[in-house]
Amino acid sequence: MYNTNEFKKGLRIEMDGVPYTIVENQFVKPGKGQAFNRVKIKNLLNGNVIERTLKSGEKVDKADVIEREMQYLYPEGDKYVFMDTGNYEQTEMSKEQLGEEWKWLLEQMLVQVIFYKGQPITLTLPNFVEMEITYCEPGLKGDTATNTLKPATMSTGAQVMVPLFITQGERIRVDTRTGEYMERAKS
Amino acid sequence: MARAGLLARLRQFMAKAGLLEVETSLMVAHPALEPHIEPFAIGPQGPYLNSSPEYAMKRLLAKGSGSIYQICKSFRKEEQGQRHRSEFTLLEYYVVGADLAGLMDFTDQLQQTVFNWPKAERVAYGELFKAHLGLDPLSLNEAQFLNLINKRGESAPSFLLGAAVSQEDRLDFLFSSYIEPHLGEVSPVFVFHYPPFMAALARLDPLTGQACRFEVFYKGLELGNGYFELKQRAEQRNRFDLVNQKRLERGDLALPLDEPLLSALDTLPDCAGLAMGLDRVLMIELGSDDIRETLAIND
Repeated sequence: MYNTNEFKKGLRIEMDGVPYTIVENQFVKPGKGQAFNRVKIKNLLNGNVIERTLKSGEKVDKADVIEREMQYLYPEGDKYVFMDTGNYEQTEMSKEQLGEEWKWLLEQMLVQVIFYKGQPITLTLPNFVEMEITYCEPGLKGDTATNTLKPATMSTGAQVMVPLFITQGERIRVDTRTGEYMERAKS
Repeated sequence: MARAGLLARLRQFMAKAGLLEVETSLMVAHPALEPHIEPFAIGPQGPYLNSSPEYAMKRLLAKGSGSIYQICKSFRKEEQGQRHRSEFTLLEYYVVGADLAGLMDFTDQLQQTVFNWPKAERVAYGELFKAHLGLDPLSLNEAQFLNLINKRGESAPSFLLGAAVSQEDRLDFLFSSYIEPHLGEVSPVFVFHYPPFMAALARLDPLTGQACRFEVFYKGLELGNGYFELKQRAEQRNRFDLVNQKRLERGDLALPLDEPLLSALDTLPDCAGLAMGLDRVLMIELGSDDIRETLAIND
């Protein structure tokens, strides 16, 4: 159990049978009054963020959640296969479980897979990935000044808006949290 | 630097106003008896770190000290957050001969001179509830409470539902959630005339029955709490007993009654006193939203 005074961002708790991670925790106490914690928590199963108010000092369950470093191996039909880098155990995750994250999965990539009660539920990607552009309209040489963007298709099938000077076949760096183009990949 | 300057200006103001600086023990046998303030106990039966210097200062007043002030550390268990630290600096002062209005005048003067704040507005607790939430705090019932929160698309916290929940806890929740964040955007606000069940150590107004208590708010922060001090020993004892009863019902420990304080009330002069959190005053001066930024060292 966690007491509300142990609450902090990133702590994983369970309420009404659902695992959550704490996004924001605010301690409120009127000078002479009852203290409470106003928290924003993210449902680990569906990603929804809700607000809850708990009496300070109240105890909540720890979520039975563990994180394992795994390597993404290959897709198999609608599933994605991962391998634990410690014990070589393999785990499958469905496209639904991955949400939008499948867009940034490259074979051999290391990710953090989150297990709830022994079952994989979601994963955390590296913040930045480098990938190849498999299709985009021809680049405009020398056009580095304007902020105009054009769509590009990545080797994974993801669509990213890139500057006009970027050409097909180039490797670029993408922020997986926002899906935004960062820069040309170095080397 | 900001802290040193503030303390120097405060002491200068107090000296000019004729208040004597005093120092009372931080380690006390009788902690402040409050339903929602937890003192740190040093041993299993006390002593305690004081959560406010109020009781000791009232004993000095009863001995004829005249108007006094103190700047000291106070300690409150389990208070930790952006606006709270378990150890914090309190300014506490008592003006002999002042009533609630007199204390507001004195406090406003201090704020304008020492903190350089604009002149304070004054508004009654009940008026604030009417203006912000459209209801009367004295007659608030559970249905109204629920309705009000649901209308905002929020759900009422479960610990505030049920017959055993006190009116005070619900009012405090509404106040700190929906009123306090809007208070004092332009100038400080003195909120006065609290409901009688929120009087603590304040006397009740014989005409309206409301508590002669006011609180100071500025920039959405609660900064100070003042009373026209209660002198009736029997009534104070009853209130303390009620607090302990509430604490026991909740499963907390009862705290020892401060008998020397109760005896001292017999000779307490008419006076009004206020406690103010100086770290929060510094937050405003520095434009900070985190109390830890007001400390030179914070580990």
